[in-house]
Amino acid sequence: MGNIGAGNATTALSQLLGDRLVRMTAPAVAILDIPEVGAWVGEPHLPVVAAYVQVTGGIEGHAVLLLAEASAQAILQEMLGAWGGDRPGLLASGAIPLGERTVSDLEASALMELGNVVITSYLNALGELTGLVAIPSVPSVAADMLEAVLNSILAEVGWSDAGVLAIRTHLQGEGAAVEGQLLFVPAEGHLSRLIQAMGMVGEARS
Amino acid sequence: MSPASPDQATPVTVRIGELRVLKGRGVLAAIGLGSCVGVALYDPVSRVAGLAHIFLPSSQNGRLVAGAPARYADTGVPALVDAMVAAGARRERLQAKLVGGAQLFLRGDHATLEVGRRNVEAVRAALCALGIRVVAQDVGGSRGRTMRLFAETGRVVVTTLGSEAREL
Amino acid sequence: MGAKRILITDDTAFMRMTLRKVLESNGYEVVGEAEDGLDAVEKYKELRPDIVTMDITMPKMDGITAIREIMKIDPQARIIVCSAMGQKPMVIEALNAGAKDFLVKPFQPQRVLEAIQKVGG
Repeated sequence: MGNIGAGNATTALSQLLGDRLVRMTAPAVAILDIPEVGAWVGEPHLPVVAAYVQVTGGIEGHAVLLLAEASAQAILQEMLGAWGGDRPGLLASGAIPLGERTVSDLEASALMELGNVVITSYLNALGELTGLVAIPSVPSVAADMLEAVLNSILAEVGWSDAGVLAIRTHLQGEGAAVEGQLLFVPAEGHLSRLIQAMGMVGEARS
Repeated sequence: MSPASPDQATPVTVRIGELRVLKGRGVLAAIGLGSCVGVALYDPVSRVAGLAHIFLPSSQNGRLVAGAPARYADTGVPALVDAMVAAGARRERLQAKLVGGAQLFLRGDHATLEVGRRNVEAVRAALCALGIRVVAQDVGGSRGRTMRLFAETGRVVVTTLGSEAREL
Repeated sequence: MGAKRILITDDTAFMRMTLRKVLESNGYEVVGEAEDGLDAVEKYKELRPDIVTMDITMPKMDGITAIREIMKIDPQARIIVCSAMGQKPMVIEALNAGAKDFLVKPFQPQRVLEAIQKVGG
């Protein structure tokens, strides 16, 4: 399930990068207590850029795109250049606080668009696979240390005594110029819906 | 073999929803406080130090679960105080320092996520109800923070990505 | 005959900027930019563009609702959806609501020009 979603997302990311190759790893799935999620994803002090959406509809949950800071810079430069725009000093100056820096409205919106496109591509594939609709919210973006970013998202997920299911896929571009992860946390009780829906779609096709 | 200086001891990490108490030596740390609030309490006489990593404002149904006693501000703050009193602290001597409660995320719809601010308010309300004074805080804003509490002195040091550590 | 007048709708300034650049450098006149569905409906009434590009995921009012509202005002409205959302039920819903075409992001500039030409630009 995570595999197909990520395949779609890597195609989208690849196009945003001017068709440069983006690979993905096989997805990792784990059931984790809230305090364990951070360490499972990566090193707590790693500077990352993150885009987050809430998912509603037939599939409910939380989706996050995490990019190493240098990767985010590279992608945004490509985006801002590809359609005939200027290539301003990225994340350099502006009025909007984003992590350590302030950015311009254009840069912040480019980041939101990046998150929107990659995450929605992932959800499109999940939707197709399950026959359920996965509707993304307008994205939120952040740039900070990984642990703080994840913990802020987990506050939206809320506490679960049973832990949360997390599905993770690594994205890797040519020469490691792009490095990121896609995380999907289905809402409590939704995993069985997802699996059921996949099963039914499988039956309908056979 | 001489004992390591408490200030250089490996910090004990207090993860989301956890609380820990040390007496006289050692370091407690809450790493990656985004919307979460780290509540540091210290009794300078008994040198009992406690740190709670608060996740959400309220427990609503009042349940307390052993595995994550500090996940809510309204139950977590009293739980921290109880643990410190059990270690020899006196409530009337306790002083509080608060770190965190930020909003890291820029929203496309321009709303605020609110949780960080509500966490700070809930923690302050819980401390006020117990008569505990907040002597310092580094809260709000849009940055993630890491805090360390030194049990020998009650010092709290805060770091953010790309900045020097600073004492609260 | 003057250039076709286009209203761009997208909640990100980046997307509005890039669409504007593509359209203007190909002889179209961008008469307005809307940042959400509500804004798009208001600007449609005010500007009466020839063609509208419409995002779906937006605050205040989503694109499909905006399509319906604009079609009520003008059943001849020519709306092209430009959205990352590409799931079949949504595409069908948008077309049923009155959109003339549906482009899934990310797309090359050429794609949006072709779609506009097809719809009567």
